[in-house]
Amino acid sequence: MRILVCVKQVPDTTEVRLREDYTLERDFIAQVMNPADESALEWALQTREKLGGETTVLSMGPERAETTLREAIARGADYAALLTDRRFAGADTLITARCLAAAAKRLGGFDMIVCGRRAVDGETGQVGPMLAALLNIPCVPNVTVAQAGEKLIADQLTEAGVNRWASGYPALLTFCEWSYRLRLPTLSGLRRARQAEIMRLTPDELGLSAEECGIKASPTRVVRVEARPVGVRPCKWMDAEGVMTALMERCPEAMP
Amino acid sequence: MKIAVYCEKMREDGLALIGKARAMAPKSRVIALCEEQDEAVLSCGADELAYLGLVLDDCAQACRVAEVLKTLGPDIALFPATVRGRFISAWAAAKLQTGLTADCTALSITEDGILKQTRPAYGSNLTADILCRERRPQMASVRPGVFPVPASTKRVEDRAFSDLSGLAAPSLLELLAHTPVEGGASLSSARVVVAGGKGVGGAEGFALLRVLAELLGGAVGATRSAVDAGYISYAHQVGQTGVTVRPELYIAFGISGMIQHTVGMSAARTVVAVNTDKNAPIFRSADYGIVAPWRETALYMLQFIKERKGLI
Repeated sequence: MRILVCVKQVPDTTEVRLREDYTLERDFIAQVMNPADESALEWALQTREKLGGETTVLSMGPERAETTLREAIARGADYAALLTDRRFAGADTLITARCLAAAAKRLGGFDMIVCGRRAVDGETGQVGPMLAALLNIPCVPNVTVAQAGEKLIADQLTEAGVNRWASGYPALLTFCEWSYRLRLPTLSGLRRARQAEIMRLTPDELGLSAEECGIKASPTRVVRVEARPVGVRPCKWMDAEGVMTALMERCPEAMP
Repeated sequence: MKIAVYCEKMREDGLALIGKARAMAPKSRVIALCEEQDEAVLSCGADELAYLGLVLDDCAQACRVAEVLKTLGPDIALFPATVRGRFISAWAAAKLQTGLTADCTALSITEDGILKQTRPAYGSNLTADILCRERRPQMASVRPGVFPVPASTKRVEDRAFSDLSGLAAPSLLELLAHTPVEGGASLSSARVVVAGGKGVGGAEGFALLRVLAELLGGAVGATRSAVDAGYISYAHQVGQTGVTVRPELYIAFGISGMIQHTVGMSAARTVVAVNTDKNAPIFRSADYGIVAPWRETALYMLQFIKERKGLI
């Protein structure tokens, strides 16, 4: 089974600074693989162990996203490709999905595509489903457990409970952060990671013009960003008894 | 202006979005795209009930929604930011090659008639305003619970109905089984929410919170880190990527108060926070702060309420 794993390099903190143009200042913060993507990678590695085949990791981002791809190789991924070019920069979710779809077609022949269900920085959770829609393949987001056999069976977590879906191939799954815990790198993995060649792909190699990618092509635009403390209240310090007495008075409708 | 609102079966988020659409664009034509034939969408302010139905294949359903939006040609399309609502909106936006903003917490119309979409961004430390100037529809998913369900009016005579349920789409997925979530699903409408964070230590900790919540006639909430750690199921998650609650009383045990969590509970009328760390950010979102171990405090409250109820 050929599996494509889409990963994103994200800042290892929620303390993120912004540039003047409201794009993320990513330069001074430790960068890690997005946690939900780790889960997707682990599922891909386990599935390859069961069924054979190969695992390719794909990312779009600046040059330094290469470290995240090498990390994936150290854990066991076979190949890695990086979409890095100034023309890719500033893409919104639709255009990110477009570029990843073009790369998936270019690399070709995947039975499965797996992603994290959302990135910790943007938290939109849109790129995976959009990628599936553009490739016109079945998609199950928010997966906790999946089994690739004759059919693909995936358990999806929703507000109302768990849905078990069956699908054919190729298909795209997005995984929850805690679904599969990514294995540690092995010594031979680390050696491979150092030596591995990371394929670089530019818009031209994907058959995309400059007008079709990056911020130029993106239908959405961030026009204003504001640091806004949410729901700040004056806190009265009390012990538990004081609070319960105060609550009887302040919100009798909520108390017995 | 034409606004389409996707209304999920058995949920009130669609009604709230219809109310919001009416309020922000009073002269618009609001079309409710419904999974079930629910007249409530009309009494909440929709001009038209477009009955789409629900096929048991979210991909096929998403294809159908994309088709309908193509035909209707609305200026704006709103979806609840539930697992299915987010998925369908993302799929449809890709098919229509238009912009989609996830998980909005505020919406308004600018002077030049564009939908201003506001969402927490970059780890919720910021709110971002996002526009989709050229492509149509302007699509947004909206976090459940941020807008109230409007009071129903009686004017339904002149409202239109259309049946789109026959619309076919290729089958991509097969639903094998659905396992409903265990109790406490009414979190978003609970009068009292007793919530725990990672500081609660595990599933046993949440069992105690559940007892307290039951005594108060409320529901159990949790932070994402508690859910990620497997202490409790996702259905209980309050915050940016979970449920937004607006209870009379919110009690936070062992919650540090990351903004991703507090955005989901800032509409509570009264907030009590319990944490051993006096500097925990949760106290900035609290009306009452108790600096003490969470278990001891929970047990005290339990005792207090039992006595009040005459159970002891």
